[in-house]
Amino acid sequence: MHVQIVLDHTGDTRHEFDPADASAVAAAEARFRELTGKGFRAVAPGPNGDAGKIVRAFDLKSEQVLFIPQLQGG
Amino acid sequence: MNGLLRRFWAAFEPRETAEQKSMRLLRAHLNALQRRQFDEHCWFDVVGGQSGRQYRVHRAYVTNVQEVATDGACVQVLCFSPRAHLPLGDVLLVQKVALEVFEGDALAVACRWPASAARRYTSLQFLLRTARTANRS
Repeated sequence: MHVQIVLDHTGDTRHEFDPADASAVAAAEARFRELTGKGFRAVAPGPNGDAGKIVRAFDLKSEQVLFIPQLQGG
Repeated sequence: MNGLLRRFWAAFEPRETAEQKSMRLLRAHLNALQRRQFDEHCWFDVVGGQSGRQYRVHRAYVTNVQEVATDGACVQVLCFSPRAHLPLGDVLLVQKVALEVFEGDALAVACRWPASAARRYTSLQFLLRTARTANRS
C-alpha cells in the first residue's frame, strides 16, 4: 500500500491507496494535484529518517509522500 | 447489536491527541541520532540540504531554530513555521523537512535574530524545565 500523509490540525490525515488499483491511483493523483495546487509541498521522506526529496509530479515510485503546508516567517 | 455496543464503548476509550499523534509522526521521521538528541535534550540537529550548514531545532513553536557552528555555538536564530495551525510535532517535522529538502525557500521566509536571542531563549527553556520538574515533584 502507498500512503499520502497530509499534515493538518489533527496531527495528520492519511490516505492509503493500492498502486495496482487504477481508480485509487486516479484519486491519489487528483489529491496530489489539489494539494500541490493549494501550495503544499510533496516530499518523499528518506529511509530511516534521513533527508528526503521533493516530489514535483505524481508518481508511484514513492510509497510514502508527506504534504507540507507553505512556510511563513515568524 | 454487538457493533453498536462496541461503538458506544469506543467513545469512552482514551484517544490520542493531535499533539501526541504529531509527536509520533515526528519521531517516525527522525533518524536514530536525531531521536536520541530529542529525547535527551529536547532538540535535534539538521544538516541543511543545500548549504551543508548545521541547524538545531528546539522543541517549541517559535524562534526555535538555530544555525549552529561546528562547536554547537549559536550563529543566529531563525523563525519560520508552517502557514497552518499544526500541533507541535508537525511544526518541528515541517522545519526539519524544509531545512533538509528546500532549505533556500525556508531561509528566504525566515526572520533572523542575533545569537544573543538564543541565550535568552535557552534561559527561558531552563526556567520552564525547572518549573516543570518542580511541579512534578
